[in-house]
Amino acid sequence: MRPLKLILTFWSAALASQMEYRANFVMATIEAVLEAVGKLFGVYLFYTTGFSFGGWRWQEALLVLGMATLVDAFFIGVLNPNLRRISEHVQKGTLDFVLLKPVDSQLWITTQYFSVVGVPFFASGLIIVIYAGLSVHLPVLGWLLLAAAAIASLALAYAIGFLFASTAIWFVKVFNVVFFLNALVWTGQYPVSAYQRPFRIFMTYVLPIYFMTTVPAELALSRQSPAALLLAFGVAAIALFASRAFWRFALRYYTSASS
Amino acid sequence: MEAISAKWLGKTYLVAVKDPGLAGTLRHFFRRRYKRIEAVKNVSFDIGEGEVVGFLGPNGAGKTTTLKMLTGLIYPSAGQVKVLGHVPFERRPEFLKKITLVMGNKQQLIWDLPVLDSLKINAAVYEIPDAEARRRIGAFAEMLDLEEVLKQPVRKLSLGQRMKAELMAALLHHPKLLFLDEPTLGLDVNAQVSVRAFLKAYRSQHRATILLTSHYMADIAALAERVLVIHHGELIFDGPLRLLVARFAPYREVSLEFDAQISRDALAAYGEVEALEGQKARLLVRREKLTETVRNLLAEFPVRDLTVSEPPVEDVIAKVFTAGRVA
Amino acid sequence: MRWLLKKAAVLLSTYHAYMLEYRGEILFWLLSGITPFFFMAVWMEAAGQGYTEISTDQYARYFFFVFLTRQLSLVWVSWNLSESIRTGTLSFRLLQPLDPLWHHLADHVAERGVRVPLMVPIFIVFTLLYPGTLTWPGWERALLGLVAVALAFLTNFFASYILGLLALWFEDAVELSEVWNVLITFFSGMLAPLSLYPETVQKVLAWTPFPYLVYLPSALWSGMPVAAGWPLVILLGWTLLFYLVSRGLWRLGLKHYSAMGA
Repeated sequence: MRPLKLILTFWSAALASQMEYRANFVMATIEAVLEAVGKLFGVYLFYTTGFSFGGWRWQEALLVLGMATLVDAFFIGVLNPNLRRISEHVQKGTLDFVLLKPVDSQLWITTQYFSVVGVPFFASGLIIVIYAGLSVHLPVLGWLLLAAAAIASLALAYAIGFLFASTAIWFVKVFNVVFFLNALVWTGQYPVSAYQRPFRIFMTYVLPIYFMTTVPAELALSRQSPAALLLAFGVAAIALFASRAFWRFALRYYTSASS
Repeated sequence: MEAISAKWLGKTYLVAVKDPGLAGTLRHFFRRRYKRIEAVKNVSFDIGEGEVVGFLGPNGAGKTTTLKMLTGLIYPSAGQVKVLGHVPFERRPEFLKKITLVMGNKQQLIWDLPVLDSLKINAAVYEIPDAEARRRIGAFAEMLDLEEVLKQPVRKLSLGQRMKAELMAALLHHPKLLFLDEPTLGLDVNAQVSVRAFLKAYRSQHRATILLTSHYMADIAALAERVLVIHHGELIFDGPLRLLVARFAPYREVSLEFDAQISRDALAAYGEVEALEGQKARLLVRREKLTETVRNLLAEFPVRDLTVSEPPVEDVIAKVFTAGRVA
Repeated sequence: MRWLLKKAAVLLSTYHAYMLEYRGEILFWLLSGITPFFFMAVWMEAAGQGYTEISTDQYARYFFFVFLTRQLSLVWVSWNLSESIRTGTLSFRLLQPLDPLWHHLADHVAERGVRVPLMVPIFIVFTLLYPGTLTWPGWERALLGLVAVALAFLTNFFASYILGLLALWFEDAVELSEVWNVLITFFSGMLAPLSLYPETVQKVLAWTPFPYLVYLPSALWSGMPVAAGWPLVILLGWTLLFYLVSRGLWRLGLKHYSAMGA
């Protein structure tokens, strides 16, 4: 398991370099708590009107919210810091070094850093998911389906994030492209059935946010047959494959910076 | 009037000390302990108008701290300083319009825009009329050979061009007093030479006073008549560069080539052996003993070739810093 | 006076040119500000099913102006400041006979000159998707809304200035501006028109600057029932408060900067 060992090495180095900035971690914790409170308040606000996101009990809706928080945390802690670095690599020409390493460039470039700021967000997501799962009395199978779908969901997030960031090869400065993706994924905090139709279509077929947050909850709550899990993994696999192919394709256009 | 007059100038930093570990952090949070660091102590000197003074010292000696006190960026914790008749720390506009600071490792030009745009901002900030600004830019660009690149974004310039453009921006308001902190840092020899030539020309045109620090002795040797040497925050030498060399390098370097292998021990009797490699050697010999030593060497050893030279100034300076205070 | 205008003109035009270099970045930044439209989509769905008294058209109008308000009042000066402290370029600025504040303000104002034209396509797409929802609020509300947005921008700007200056004492104080943004997202009316918030929450929020930063201008422009007088005075009060604190902190900060070695 060489890749796994590599990631562990990267992350422990990243962790060590961040130990100095504990204040940062404290700030992130405050932020994560505030954000969780805000998100819960949002759900509460909708349910006070009697609207139920298209037939979800509020505890069920919280399962989606928790999944969305986990995906956000994955972006904050792992994807954003790495994907933004692609831009930097292209700008400074240091992508050269990456490409010359005897390691898969995609693996190298997307796993190098890990930000502790993501941890409190991940914790808050986990708490929401567990609370929601317990309050709707998820059966063991439900938990298992949820966990499996969560893996597919993160893989999908990874693939789409990488796909977006690969455009750095042409556009160089794509910090905000990742930021834009964050904003879109952030909307996955409500079940897609809560949205107006055009938005629902966009979130399912254009940018598959549906598979990241709603599908895992639907699977756990048996609103979908377990076979849908295969669909979730299928979508993730296609996205992974596409992102990898796109990266290879993009590299053909890479002209190393001169200075 | 003196351009700069510093009396008993000192700067002490309070640096928070923190024990490692969580307990240390907590204790640090509630009761901070500080350590006093004397970055500069009792530094006194005067610099007359139009003088060019080199400021020497190893890293962390207090050069930059002193420069920052003189420009008014930091407040001295002891002593008095007058620069062009002003108290620098007040940073009055009249004062700021007469000085400039160039730092070789930092830049003020806007990275993504042509040099000209940064110059335009400086012209407005220093209230230079358009026609005059254009004239000055033209003149500088010609002197620095930058006409071609003024319309290119700063990020496309070479390091040398960038530094020259920095100088243009820093001198556009025709300051009378220049503080230059490592103005040639990282430049290749050609660029170094042209930066020096430019500074010389600027100085003679504007009768400007210059205080500069540099790691390159060539900068100091080319520009400065006088040097200040600072070490561990204290001023250890103030005088002409020539005198510094004479005082700290009462040596000559004797390079020898022999017909046979000579042992280090045999040579050590004649002077300090700097290098010995095969049949070649370099010796440091005190000046007053030079003739005698050379005569003896020629008599005792199978010498094929012998040359006598001044040791490089860098080595002299290094010696100053290891030797400590000047007697 | 002549030099004042000249400085303003040069700073604005140069920073405009600078921001033009970043138009691609700004476009994507602009696009990442579309979250209000997602909240809109949920509220419209709720309204379509008859759950709230506000009509779907009103929601569309309200959230469009929320988007506009946010775009016009976005700031990043805390980031600029902490960056100039970290890299030491603050020293150069301090040696110029012009307060760095003006550089940052010009940078922000000039950026709007790039951002606003980029918003035209979004405006067009919106009017195509929701035809007839955007109506002219009348001169009075339009102007009052503009005043409110200007003040909201300045309040954000000075608040961000304060957060940026904190970097002199605490490294990585930038994270604090994220906290500010989170609070704006949920408690300023971005999530829903403030009138839908529970009454106690509304009362508490009235004591914070947040509702004035988004809800006030958006409600004015979208024709929601909102009083203009008092809220504008309160917003002005917040602007002044943040301005004064930022100036005071600037003075303290300079002392600190100069004591710790610039």
